[in-house]
Amino acid sequence: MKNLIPIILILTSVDLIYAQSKEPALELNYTYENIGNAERRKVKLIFRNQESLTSFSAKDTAIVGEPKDFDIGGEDDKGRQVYKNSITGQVIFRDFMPRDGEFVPCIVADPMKPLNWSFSSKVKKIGKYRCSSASTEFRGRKYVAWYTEDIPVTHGPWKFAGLPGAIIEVYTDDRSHLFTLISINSLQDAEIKPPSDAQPVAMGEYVTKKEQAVTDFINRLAAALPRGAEITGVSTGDNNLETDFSDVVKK
Amino acid sequence: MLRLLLVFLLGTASLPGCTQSGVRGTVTDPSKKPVPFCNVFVQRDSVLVKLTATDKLGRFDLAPLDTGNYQLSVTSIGFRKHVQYLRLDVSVIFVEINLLPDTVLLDQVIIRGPGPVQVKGDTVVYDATQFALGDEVALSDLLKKLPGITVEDDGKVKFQGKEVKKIKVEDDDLFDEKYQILTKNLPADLVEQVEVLQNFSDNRLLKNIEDSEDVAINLKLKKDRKQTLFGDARVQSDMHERYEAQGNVVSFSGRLRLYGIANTNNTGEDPTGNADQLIQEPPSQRIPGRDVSSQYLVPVERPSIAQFKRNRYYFNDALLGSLQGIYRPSKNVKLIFHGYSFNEGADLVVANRREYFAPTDTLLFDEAANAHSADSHRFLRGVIELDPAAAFNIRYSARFQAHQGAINQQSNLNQNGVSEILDSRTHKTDHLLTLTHRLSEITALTLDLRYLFDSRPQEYFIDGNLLSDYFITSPASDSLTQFADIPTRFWGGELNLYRKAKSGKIGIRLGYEGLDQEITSALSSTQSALSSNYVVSEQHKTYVEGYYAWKLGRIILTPSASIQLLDFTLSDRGTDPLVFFNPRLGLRWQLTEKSRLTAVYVAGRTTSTLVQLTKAPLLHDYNLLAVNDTSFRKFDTRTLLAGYEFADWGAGFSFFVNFLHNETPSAYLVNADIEPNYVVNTQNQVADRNFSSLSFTLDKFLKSLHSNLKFRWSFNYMDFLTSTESVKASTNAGGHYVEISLRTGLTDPFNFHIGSVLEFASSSSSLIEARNLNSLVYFDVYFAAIQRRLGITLHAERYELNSIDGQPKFHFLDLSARYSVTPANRFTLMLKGRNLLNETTFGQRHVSYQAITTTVNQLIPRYVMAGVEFKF
Repeated sequence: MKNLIPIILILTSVDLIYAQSKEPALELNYTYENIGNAERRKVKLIFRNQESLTSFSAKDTAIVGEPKDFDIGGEDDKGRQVYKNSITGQVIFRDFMPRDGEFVPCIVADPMKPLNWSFSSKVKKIGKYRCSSASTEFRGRKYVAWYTEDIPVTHGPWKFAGLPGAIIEVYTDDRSHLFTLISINSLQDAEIKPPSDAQPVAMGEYVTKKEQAVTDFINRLAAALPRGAEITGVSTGDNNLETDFSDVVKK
Repeated sequence: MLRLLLVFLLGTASLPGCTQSGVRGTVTDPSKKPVPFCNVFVQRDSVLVKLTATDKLGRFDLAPLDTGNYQLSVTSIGFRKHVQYLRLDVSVIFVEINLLPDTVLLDQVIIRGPGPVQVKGDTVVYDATQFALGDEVALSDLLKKLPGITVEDDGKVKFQGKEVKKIKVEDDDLFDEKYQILTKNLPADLVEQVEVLQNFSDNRLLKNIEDSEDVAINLKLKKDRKQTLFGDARVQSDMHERYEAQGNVVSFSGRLRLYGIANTNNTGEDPTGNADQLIQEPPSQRIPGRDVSSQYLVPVERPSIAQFKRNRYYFNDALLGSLQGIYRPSKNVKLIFHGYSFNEGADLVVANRREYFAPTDTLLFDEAANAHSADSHRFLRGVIELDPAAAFNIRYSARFQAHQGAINQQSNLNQNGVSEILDSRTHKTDHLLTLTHRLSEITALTLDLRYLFDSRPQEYFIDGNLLSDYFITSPASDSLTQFADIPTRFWGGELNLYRKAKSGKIGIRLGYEGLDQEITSALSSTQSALSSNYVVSEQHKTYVEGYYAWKLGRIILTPSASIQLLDFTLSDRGTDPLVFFNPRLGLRWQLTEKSRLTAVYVAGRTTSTLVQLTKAPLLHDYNLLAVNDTSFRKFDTRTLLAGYEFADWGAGFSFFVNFLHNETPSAYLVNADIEPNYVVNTQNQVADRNFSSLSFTLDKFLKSLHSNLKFRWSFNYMDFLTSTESVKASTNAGGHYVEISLRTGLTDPFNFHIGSVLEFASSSSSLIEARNLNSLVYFDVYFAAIQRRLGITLHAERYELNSIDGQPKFHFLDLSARYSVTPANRFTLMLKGRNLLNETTFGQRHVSYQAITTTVNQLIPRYVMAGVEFKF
């Protein structure tokens, strides 16, 4: 009986949707972990009609202990967002970029090409879903995704798209970045639209400013060292998801 | 004709690849309404070939496609997945798809596997294999890649800014607190898991119950690598006089683990970290009698120069050998041993000029000393750990320490040449037994029993007698000998109860301590005995202590107090029962995410030491005689320590303020009687001594200069009563320290650090009016290239000591260079140059309420060494 109630609810809601001629949407909740930055965020993906909006929460949870009190990414109430539309091919994202020493929100139309996935015959079960594996390379990192055709969502979190089912988990080959699906909900009146409440910036400018910010931060840390202390042999690894923008910006 | 046939055949063969074939269609719902924007895709052998979506009218187009067999799938939210198989030939086929409503609930929770980082209560576990990229050589390279962990240049590790106290290997504490050698040498590829243990307790049964803020790391090694022998070696020399050599060997083989270190140098470097601490080991553990030890009457520590590390002026010859090991005969038994031998000879050439203040006149002491010391230290520690039950353990440790030192010094005081010999020996044994019982999840009980014996016989000989006016003998003696020893015997037991409550942690301690100490001193000339002491003391102390670490939201308040009942018996003075009450209050307040306030208030009471209770004069130096106050005294002290910190690293700004105030309403005062050739320091009790200090530290990143500006100012002030030649006066002394510097944060290759330090000290009373101003300007250059495989550092310093006569300016230039021949630092070439401008001496001036002392030390001359380092 207990199991019947949600089914009835779903069926009722599907009927309601038709009655109101509203399209149903799915909300997929992921966690995103950036190991190098010791950061963990909640990521919400809302998908409907080949349109999706990914929203990153504020860094509410550090992987270890308290959140760090310095950040070179910037934060605000809206946070980072990615809007994708498979019909128009649009990818529009909201992020933060340095301007006069402050991180300010910006909106950028990303001219990225659709991801070129390579499919493998590997299959595994995650939770109750039978998942297939695919891999791709995107802006300096190699990714492995596990997706299931049982969930009719062809967009993944962030900029991932183009798989015939929902991404259950996707991670870099060094496992420094990973998105993991936690739960799925049906939504009745979700609004999916491109982010608009920030200044639009060209991709080229965004990339230049972003790269400069990382170098500045590392140099600032070095400058804060006491006398005699040095940073030697430290690999100043870039912990961003995207490290190579040569597909959109010529050097 | 044949050519035509060939063209036809080839054309036919290539038809499937170029012919327009594909699939088009419409998708509708059960009521035949079109379903817009649903997912439509075709797969071949389970591999996605093409993915598209329906338009507003539910139409889709999957052309062109190669001919062949396909699986066509249509998915959409609220509908059941539609799958059909197609065989495509040269034409485009049209399909009509009718989707059925889906009844499957989609709000499922996905079960996740373990990630690379897991937090289990206070323990953070990193799966090292998921972080290693293959370019790591030593453990420190791996630790740097773990989020939240930083590794400093000297190998010290910090977790979220807090220094890691210990690094254990497979739960074994092989290296104690000197783990830098491990982080710099343990090959990274041995490590499978790194566990960070927060709120760490040395005793596993006190975990989460004891009020501890310590952090430790435990390394889990890969099973197949535990049999490895590894280490490193480094040799440097100037091919003439100076050398440095160091080596480490580590072996993990089955039940026995060994770690060996060898180090030898004559560049003034201290291979033990701090050689003085080998003699007077600082108490670090919470054990009964942690402050109890014997002492040498004539100091054996060599004078130091505050501005420098000892490698500028310490003409040494050091040799250290150390072996540590752990043996596990069974699962519940662990044996730990650690032994070292350290020998060091050292030469110091010092000229002293002391101006003593007297009400009527100033007495000038001019002395030149040339001292040679030879020390040897032996140390052996054995530990047995038994875990007979899950909630019970026994730990027994025994330490044996021996020191033998000889100082041979030629001194010249006011043209009187004397020769001194000081022989010192230490024999120390220390036994500690700890039983721990974890009574429940929130309660634990420990019992510590300790026995300590510490004896430090010392023989002092001087071939002249500068004290002939004090000890008038007939005929006048021409040499003096002093024998002294303070054998100390301690035994005690302490019962600790730890309990974790909802709102904090509680600790209650009950203890008993017994202390037998005797002081023997005999000063004699060649003809007769001059002065002797023999005092025996017996102390019995019973005490109860308690603390409560009370968590109130963002505030942790820790009130604690101890009550002590002390029975003090002196062989020549009888028994004196005493009661002590020492309250303490600690506060930690996280005001905001970026600011924090901490404060501690302590009120305490201490008593005279046995040396302070001797009646006859004691010789502390060849011209320094101490005459003590003989009566047993109690001293009350009150201390307030407060600190505020604000750090906004994002804005590149941090600010720290610290304040310390100490009051000693009753204290000892040294009354100096100054004669032309010697000083007699007599102790009296006086009232009111206050000490305060305040310091500010500010860091600001200047965007326009790409540099960090650092400013540090500290101020201290002290007032107390002084007495010289029977004249009492109120003295106040104070000082300022100001440092301002700029360090660049530029992208390689070049970076700079330029700064200036000003130090001002003053002391004034009706007897003394003295001021002192020293300045330092420094300029450091850092150069890095070839992916940081080449690193060159140049340090330049200019000192100006305004109060030093003759040569008040000193210039130093040092160089260090490293080049890693192999990318993974396995083989490195090194160059090290010190004192390149070849300064021969360095002076310093010290102002006290008795005298102004100017000291000039001889320095290690210029040298340049070349060397190699390799790891195996």
